[in-house]
Amino acid sequence: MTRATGHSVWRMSSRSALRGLLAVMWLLCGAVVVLGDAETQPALQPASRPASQPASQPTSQAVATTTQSQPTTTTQATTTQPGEGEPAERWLAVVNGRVHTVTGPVLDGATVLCKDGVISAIGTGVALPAECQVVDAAGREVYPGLVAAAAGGIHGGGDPADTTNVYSLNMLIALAGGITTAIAGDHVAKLTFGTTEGMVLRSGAFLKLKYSSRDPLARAKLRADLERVRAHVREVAAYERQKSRGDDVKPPDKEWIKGKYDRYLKLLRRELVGMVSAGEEQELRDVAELAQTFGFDLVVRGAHEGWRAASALGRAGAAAIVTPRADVAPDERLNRPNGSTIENARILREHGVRVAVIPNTAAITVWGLAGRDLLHLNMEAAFAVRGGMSNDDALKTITIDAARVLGVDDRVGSLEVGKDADLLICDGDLLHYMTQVHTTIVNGRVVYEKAKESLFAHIRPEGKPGVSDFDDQWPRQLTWPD
Amino acid sequence: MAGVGHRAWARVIAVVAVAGLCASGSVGPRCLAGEPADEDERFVVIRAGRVITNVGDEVRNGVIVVSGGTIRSVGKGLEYPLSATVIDARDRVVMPGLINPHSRNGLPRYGRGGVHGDLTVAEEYFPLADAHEDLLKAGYTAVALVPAGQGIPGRAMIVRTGGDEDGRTLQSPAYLRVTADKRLLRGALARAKKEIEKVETARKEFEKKREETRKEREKKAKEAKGKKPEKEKEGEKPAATQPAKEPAFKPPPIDPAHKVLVDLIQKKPGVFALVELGNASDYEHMQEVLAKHEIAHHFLARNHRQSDLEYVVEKLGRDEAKIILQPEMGRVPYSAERLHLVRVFSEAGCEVSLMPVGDRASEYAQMFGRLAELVRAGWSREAALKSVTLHPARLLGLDKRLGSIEQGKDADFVFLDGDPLDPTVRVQAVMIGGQIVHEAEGDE
Amino acid sequence: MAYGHVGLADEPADARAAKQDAEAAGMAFHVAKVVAMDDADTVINDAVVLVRDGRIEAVGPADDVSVPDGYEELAFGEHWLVPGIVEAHNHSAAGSWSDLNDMVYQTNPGLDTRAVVRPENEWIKTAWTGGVTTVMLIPGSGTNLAGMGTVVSTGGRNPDEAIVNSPGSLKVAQAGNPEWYFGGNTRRFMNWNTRQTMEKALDYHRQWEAYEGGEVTEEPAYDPIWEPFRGVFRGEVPVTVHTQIYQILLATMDMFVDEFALWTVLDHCTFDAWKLGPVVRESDAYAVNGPRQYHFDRTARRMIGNADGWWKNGVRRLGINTDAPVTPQKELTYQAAMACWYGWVPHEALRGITNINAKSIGVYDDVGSVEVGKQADVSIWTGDPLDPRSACVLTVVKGRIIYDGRSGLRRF
Repeated sequence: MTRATGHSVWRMSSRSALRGLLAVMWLLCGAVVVLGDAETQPALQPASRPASQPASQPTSQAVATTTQSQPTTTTQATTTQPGEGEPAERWLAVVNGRVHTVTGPVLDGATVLCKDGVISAIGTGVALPAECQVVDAAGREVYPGLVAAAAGGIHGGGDPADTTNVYSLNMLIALAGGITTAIAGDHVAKLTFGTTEGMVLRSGAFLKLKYSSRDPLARAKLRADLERVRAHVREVAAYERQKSRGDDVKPPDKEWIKGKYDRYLKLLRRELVGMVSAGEEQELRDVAELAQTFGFDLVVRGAHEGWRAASALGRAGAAAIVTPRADVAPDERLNRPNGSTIENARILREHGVRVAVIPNTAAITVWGLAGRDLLHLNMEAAFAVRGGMSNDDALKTITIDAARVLGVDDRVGSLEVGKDADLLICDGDLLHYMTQVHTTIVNGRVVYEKAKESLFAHIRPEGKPGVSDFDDQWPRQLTWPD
Repeated sequence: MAGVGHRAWARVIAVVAVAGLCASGSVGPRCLAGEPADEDERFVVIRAGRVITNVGDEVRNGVIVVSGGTIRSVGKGLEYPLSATVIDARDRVVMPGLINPHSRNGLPRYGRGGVHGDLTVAEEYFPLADAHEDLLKAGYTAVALVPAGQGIPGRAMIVRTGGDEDGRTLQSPAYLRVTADKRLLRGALARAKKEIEKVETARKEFEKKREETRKEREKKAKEAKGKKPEKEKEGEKPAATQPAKEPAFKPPPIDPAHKVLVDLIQKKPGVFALVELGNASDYEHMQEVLAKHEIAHHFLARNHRQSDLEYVVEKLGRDEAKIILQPEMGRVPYSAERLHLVRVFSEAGCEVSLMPVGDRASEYAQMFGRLAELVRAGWSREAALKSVTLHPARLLGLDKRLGSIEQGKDADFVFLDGDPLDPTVRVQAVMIGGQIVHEAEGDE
Repeated sequence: MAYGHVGLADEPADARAAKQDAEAAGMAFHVAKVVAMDDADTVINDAVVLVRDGRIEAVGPADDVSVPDGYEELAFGEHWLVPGIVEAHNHSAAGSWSDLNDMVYQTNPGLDTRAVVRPENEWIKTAWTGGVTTVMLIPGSGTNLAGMGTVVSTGGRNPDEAIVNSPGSLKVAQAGNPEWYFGGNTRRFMNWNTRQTMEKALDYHRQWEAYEGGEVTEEPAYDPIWEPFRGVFRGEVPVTVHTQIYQILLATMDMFVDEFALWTVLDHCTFDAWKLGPVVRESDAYAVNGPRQYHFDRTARRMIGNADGWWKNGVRRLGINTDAPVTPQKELTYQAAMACWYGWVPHEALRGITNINAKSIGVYDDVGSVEVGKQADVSIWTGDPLDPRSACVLTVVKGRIIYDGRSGLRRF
């Protein structure tokens, strides 16, 4: 576009000026609309696809925090519309392995089929659905995931579902050791690597009690408080009886039942489990008597002289969290047998005390001392066998019995239809010192694979050579492939 | 308009252009006051050795025609007024001005916690002319300034780094800044939901009352029909004939700090949250809350040294997420193995924007160098150049105006003396809204 | 009384031992497997071992060995008999934490752990329950040179019986602890100072050699501080060096193996020191690895088994230690098991805690393998000794049962 002269543009006729003015006004109004403030700008696309989640994550707001009593009624995941690009059902099958159910038989060449994170079938000849992730366990042993009755540094504090680093090295190493469920402060939580979903199994089930002869005043106070609450329970029962007979009675005063008294009431109703740290014989006897007298569920932690109070603990229906290798020298000044013994766990179990095994260091350590932290929880159970326990029973102390002690045995601790799909695939007897975990599955998802994670992949990648039977670890010729 | 000749049309077009410039605000009030301005100066023409447009191929020895601060055309052999201002940049490379999507440049430090959705950077922003000189010199033409603190400290403000002081604001308030405090966000969203319910309840109450009042009136009207009209008292109109003046529904006020969260829950257009992640686990936790309420959001992640963000790359890539990262080569955690996290995100399908490693002048100046390093290590050149221009523009929602050199977008350019990925490249000039606002001096 | 019975009433130890000494002419062990750990790597199934006068009289298949009259017959079912376990790096034979170090100077020649040996202390007794029969008691690593170590037999009832070799070794700590003594030394000072000390000792030895060889007539002054070093320079006494981390172990190889050319036992050898395998395998040095059994390699995101690393790099003089009481002495077999979990071979690991350890501290002539003519130091297990599920049920030193875990409750 050319123009003729330089300055004549504004010397225009009045008519043109009016037209120009109108044009200016029109444009100003329009411009305000177009270039106004941000709120009135044309709508932006939503920033990301917020509603749908990637296929590997379940869309269920899973039942994590509720306690489930009947495994068969569990519905783990709500299904999404297939149109959203995610599978309606999530199937996983572990095939061809030697399956140790723990509460049932050992099945050779069996399949464990899992749907949406729950075991739906175990056996041979199980038909697999069309869309199913298949994990081949040929030549390997399949176990339920291990349960750690003491743990730290794996989950976060407070509510683990909010504070846990789900990609932490500690959690990964614990999974490499086969641990799939662990106590986390006041909660029992799963090692759901990579997701916050389905993490918390149970919250607030334990009530810590102190009943030690080292603090006689506190001891007396606890007993008195329990007496008071028990009396209240009896009053309430009497009131109910009288009311049903039609008597005109006043209900007992309930105002004072709050705070610790409310917790004691729950304890006596067996809604809470009492947890006591005690080691010596007399302490254990005393707390067993307390539990039996007042009728509450008791778990003793430590209990290195449990073998001295085993029958008392058994009568009280108590459970024990012990470390077989606890080493307390006998005090020769005492004129009764005392100290620790490797046979502690076995003796407790023989007297009906449910035993969960924990290691010396209830955490994951990476500074080089091997075999005394959570990575080798299975070795601590092996030491229980040294003490005379059978291999099968020792396996239970880190699976189903540990789950029972933590109150989550309806969900984990064994391979049964209806229970959570938490499995380990190992290259040998889990209580043998050469065995390593090759695959760990939590909530029906593969969360650890030895071959893919560099940490241990270089150690015997093909698995332990030789036989895996307990009593013949070394070939008789004692040759070993290089 | 018969009989109006070319000259009249030329005047009209000139007036239109003037009006456009006035409205865009890039010219001051002098224009509206009617003072004569020379129409030739409103056309700016850049003859550029290379133009990196971000849409399609580069243009070599091309021309960019700018008028009123906006790009009119880009190409070769274009027409422009002979006496338009011509900028000879034939020895220069012209690309869109860089955009910093997250900064506190020029703003003081302070700490803050809690939920403050009502606060914006505008409240602490008192721009001096050279407030963002450091960014400008480094080639940045726009910056999103964020409030300081943790939690939900408030909303960002997007400004130009130079040009006329009064016209710098591009968007305010902009995105809501959210740091990785899951419980705080969950609580804030729960509170916002309560506010929504509060309004809904009040509305229902109001409608119920209105319905009742209406029914009352109707009933009275029926009764009044069937009766003899009563002796009217003075000044009193019969109830039936009183026109009911219905008051409009006045919703109870929403807590100002949570108002923006209400907007997010109600999916108000143009409103989104920028969620800052420290590690991969933060993504899982925050995503749990964000997905539950279906909040529009983008992510920012600080991926320095041994970040474990690779764990969530696949998920973010599948969502084609827009994410702000730092231009650093990292390592696989607990390993010496190098990890090109930026490239991994990019190739997984994410739209990667980059922000300087640190919020300081030396890092702004380093940006081109860092891009070059990332490209040398295997990243795509195209993705690298877009990560500081088009992608941040899209993330901020300003891609209609910024981020590439094409018709209709703002004339915000940076002039380089070489290829942007050349290690010796320097910023020679910066143009904002068609005006050169910075020229490098000598050894700068 | 055989220790390990938790509180069960029993005869006093001496009485039983005396009875045993008086009654039987010898002992015959019937076991399912003998792993002799001799240099021929003998393994015999369904075996009989005869012990007489504190020495091994016969080892062979049950069919080939006839038990003479009057021998006490001890029949074990599916049990294994292996040599008494030998520990090369022990601090617990002194029986207390306070007897670990004397941190008087940066180097303390002249001190000797024989003064703090406490036979049958609590820690030695628990060691019996793990089948451990011989330990090298060395001072701690708080200083660069803390004195002489002592080879101790865990079955000794008094110092005469307990002390086997004195001086048993020269204890040196190259680095990795002694730094803290002065509140912060560097290896520059420590290496210089350690070398100075060795040079002074060598000088003393040379003077006496010259005199004994007739090259000088004037008798040098006798100095009890340097006198024990003579055995070291004559190659009769090993130097056991606390050393780990690549650069530090390199300094040890440099100073003790190359420069002073001494019989060297490298203790610990942890962290990334295994990378020096190619260097160490070319020498006569022993590598006794522990107590750390793995190293988290943060350049490769891997857990490297130390023993596995050494072995794969060609080192065959490889043993394991507990550094008791850092890890319990009784768990030396478990340390070996952990070395295997991280990649080593069980058979070699058992050799490491018997044959190799014994050679490293110079007691292989007497102990460390089940061979005719050697001292009868054996341990009997319910199965593979490395398997934590197996228990040690009998520990024998010089033909005397020092621990009997067959009945009653076992401590371990």
